[in-house]
Amino acid sequence: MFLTHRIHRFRRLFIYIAAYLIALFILAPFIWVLITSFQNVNNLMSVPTKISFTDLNLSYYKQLFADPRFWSALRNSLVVVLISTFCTTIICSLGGYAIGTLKLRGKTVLLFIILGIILSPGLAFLIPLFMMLRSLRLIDTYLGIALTFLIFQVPIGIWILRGFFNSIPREAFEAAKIDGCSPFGVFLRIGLPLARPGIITVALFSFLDSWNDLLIPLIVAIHKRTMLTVYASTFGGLKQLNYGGATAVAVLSAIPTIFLAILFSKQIIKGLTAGAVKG
Amino acid sequence: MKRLLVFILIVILVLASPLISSAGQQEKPYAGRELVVFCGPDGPPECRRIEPYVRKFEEETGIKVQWVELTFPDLHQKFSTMAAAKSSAVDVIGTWVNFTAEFASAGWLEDITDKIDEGLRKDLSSAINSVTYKGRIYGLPESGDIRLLFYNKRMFKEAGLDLNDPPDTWDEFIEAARLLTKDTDGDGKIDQWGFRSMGCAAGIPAMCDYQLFCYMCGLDSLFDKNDRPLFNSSQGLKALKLYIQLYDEELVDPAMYTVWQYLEEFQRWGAGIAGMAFGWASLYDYATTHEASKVKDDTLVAPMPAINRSASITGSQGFAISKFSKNKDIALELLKCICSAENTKDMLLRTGFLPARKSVYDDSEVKGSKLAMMLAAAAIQEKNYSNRFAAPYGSEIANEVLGLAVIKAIKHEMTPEEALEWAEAKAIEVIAKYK
Amino acid sequence: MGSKIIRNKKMSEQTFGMLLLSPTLIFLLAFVAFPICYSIYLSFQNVILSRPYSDEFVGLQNYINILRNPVFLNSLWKTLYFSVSFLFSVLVIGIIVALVLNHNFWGKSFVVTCLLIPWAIPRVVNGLIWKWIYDGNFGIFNAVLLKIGIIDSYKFWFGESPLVGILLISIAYTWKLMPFVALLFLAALQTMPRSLHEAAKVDGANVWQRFIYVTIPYLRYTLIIVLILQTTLAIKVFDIIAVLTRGGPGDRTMLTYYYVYRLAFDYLNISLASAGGYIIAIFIMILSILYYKLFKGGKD
Repeated sequence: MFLTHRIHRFRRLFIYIAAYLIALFILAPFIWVLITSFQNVNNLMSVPTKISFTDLNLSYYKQLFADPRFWSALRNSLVVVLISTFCTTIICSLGGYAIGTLKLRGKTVLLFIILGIILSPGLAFLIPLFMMLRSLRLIDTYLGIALTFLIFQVPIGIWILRGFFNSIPREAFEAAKIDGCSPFGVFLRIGLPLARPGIITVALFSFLDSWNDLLIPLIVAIHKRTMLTVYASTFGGLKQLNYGGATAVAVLSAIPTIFLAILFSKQIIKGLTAGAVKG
Repeated sequence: MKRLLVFILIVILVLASPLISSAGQQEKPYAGRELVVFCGPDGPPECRRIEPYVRKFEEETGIKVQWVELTFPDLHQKFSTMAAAKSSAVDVIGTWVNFTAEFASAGWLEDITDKIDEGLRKDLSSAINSVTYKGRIYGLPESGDIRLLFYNKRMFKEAGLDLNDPPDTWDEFIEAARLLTKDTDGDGKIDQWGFRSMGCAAGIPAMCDYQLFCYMCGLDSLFDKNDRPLFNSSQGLKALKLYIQLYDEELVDPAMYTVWQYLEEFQRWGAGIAGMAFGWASLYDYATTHEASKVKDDTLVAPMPAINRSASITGSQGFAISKFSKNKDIALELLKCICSAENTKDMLLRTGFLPARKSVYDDSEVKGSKLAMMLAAAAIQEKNYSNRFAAPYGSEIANEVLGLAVIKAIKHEMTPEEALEWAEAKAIEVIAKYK
Repeated sequence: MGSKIIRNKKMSEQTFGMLLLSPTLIFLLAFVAFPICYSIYLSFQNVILSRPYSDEFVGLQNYINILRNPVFLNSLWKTLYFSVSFLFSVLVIGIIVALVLNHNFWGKSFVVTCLLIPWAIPRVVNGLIWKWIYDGNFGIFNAVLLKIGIIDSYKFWFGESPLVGILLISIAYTWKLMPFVALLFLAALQTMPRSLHEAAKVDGANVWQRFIYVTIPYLRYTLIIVLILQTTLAIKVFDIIAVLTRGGPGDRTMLTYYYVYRLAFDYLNISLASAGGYIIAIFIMILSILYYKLFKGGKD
């Protein structure tokens, strides 16, 4: 009895150590970059890198804030993110409800197609899309970029929302129908509110995807509408020896996403694991 | 009533003020317009090469210039995508021989041959080659550059080599390289190497080095006028073997395998780990004045050693005008400003980049400056140089054919003979696509 | 009268559903179906954007050419190597993390939230982080290895053999995606009934045996999903390469997806690139089917 108690205590200690070690390893690279972004150039250029917590240097951030291209990249990212999140949420709510609750012919085929899009290599679409947008003169415009994002976000959004709508018990809908509600009314008054967590999840994913993506802005947003990720990626090329700037822009680009992740962690986790557990 | 009159007067004044202020701007006919320029790396923040002249231009003309700095590969990709989309978002791009050939043959650059007057054209140095393709001019150069032999005074002394007689044959050169490669701090590891140059980190530097060796071996050109490969010959083979010999005997700075960017090349020389280098003339100023350079007092320059002959390659850079630009007139003004005699002389004295204008070489101030040694060596090489290889298929040949073959031969994945055979066959294939 | 109402209801449900789906459908048609057809068409042509347009029909030539292209072929091997090392590390570490976190302890939600951070940040930022860590002159990776004594001087890691470079990229990618995998497994583990474990204990199984014969089979479904998703993500790796190495030095870390991108937007040979893109798509399809068959086969 005493022996198992000791094993049990040992096991709990082990779990604690392991869990916090994991957290440490996960956060360490980012914290390292955060610290670096405040160091003096001399510290960074010394071998091994010296770290000082008192002699802090804000110049990298100041340089960024003084760069008008940083601000335009930031503005473009915000605009595109807002447009695409808004559109994706609406389209996916409508579509997810339809596929998740209604009986439709061809539902499985559609789902299959959607799954295919999610798994396929985006580049296969982006190449012809570039040509199409080029003829429509939508390259380097907010509309063009947002449309491109929609292609990839709508399938995922529908997939997630389908699951949420599916899990709403039929009785809720039946009750509303009996009360004489029109089909659209059922959607508005019953479906949407009950699937609110799912809708928030889709909005979050859409936001994160638009903010984080590199390939699409690289191809579709050439210059006037460059986004923050593309701007940050240029630090990987040119200022190779100025890691201060690179780390500063890295921190700034990551802050909104970290903020959202912490704030909405429960919703995100639910959304991520939605399809993974077979009931 | 009086108040109403005063109010009306104020309104009229306010409405008229734009007219008044713009009347004062009659001397700046282009004021308010904007230019977008994509350029290559312009140097560290403390010492920007071209940007100061651009800012001066802005002040003098009232034209606003958006100056976007990118690495050359990024520049290529960005401009390619933009030109493919026929976007007018960029007006001027930084260019060198290869890009000019590629972009001009694609029809993406504006032909300004007829917009340049005779006087200007005559005064431009060999650097004009950076913006010329098939005899037509598509922009203006901003600086010239040529490869020279750099050697380290201190290391030469330690190795017992004669400072006043730098290597001028291949045998002297490789002997010196061997003497200079050693372990200097006694820990058993070699930390000083005999030689460094552009290296084999990617296709373009590998091919550039290889071309230099080819020229030194007497092979004037990698391809003939009809784009047939000439490098699979005894001279080309000899060039490759000599180049590989340097790697095989481990006389080369190991960073040559991995880094290739202007600034990093400079930094390696500045770190004082190599005794000799085939460096660009622009390295001289960095090596002798930059605060991060540890070889400020030790850098000496000489013409290249000879194999069959002393040889060098020119690598100049310039700016070209995009065909889709909506501001070609003011773009040309900007280009002319950048390569004015005054500005190129200033650039030479400040940064050590060779001028785009011949007249600057004869300037007395220039001749008496600290760059005299470098200019003397450059003047000698200007008589025996080859233009850096350029063709529309240039990038592809560098990265996927010849440059790649050189890299493979260095790594012994192929023998030199095999590499050149393979490269010749592949080159013919690739070029056929461009016909 | 009853059947008439039912019939109307059913029809209007179908129409209503289609109405709701119409934005999605229009969108998919215009921006998915049409581009796919267009790119298949492109892959049978010879369109290079830096040359005058030609609608020369070349049949399967692009597919043949790209499969003969040594850079492309090498990239397939490199992608394979990358995917295997990435999948291995992400699965093993992911399951371990999930097992550890499948207990209740003080601060559990803090640790779980920490997991989200690598997943949430932009992939570009991931690239910049690891670029700084792996830097050949000043990076902390070199510093740590030097201190431990594994190496004796700072190395330019990406200049070593391709295997080293790709492995390092794989580590960086694992850091970013492992949390996602761990969360998936954690969710699955949390629904696992204790009764299964109890029954096994009664049968005399120890921890390791319980893991192999009870936990893993239960996770089978999640495993398929994770494998399919992560394999797709491994093949589509792009941002990290764009920031860290750009496929270089030379073509050491030129993985397939990045190479197809270069073909399309640097060399502007969109026909060849389209062919390459479809070859990748075919690979993903085959793999997904394989995974599904493999695991379905053993399911009871």
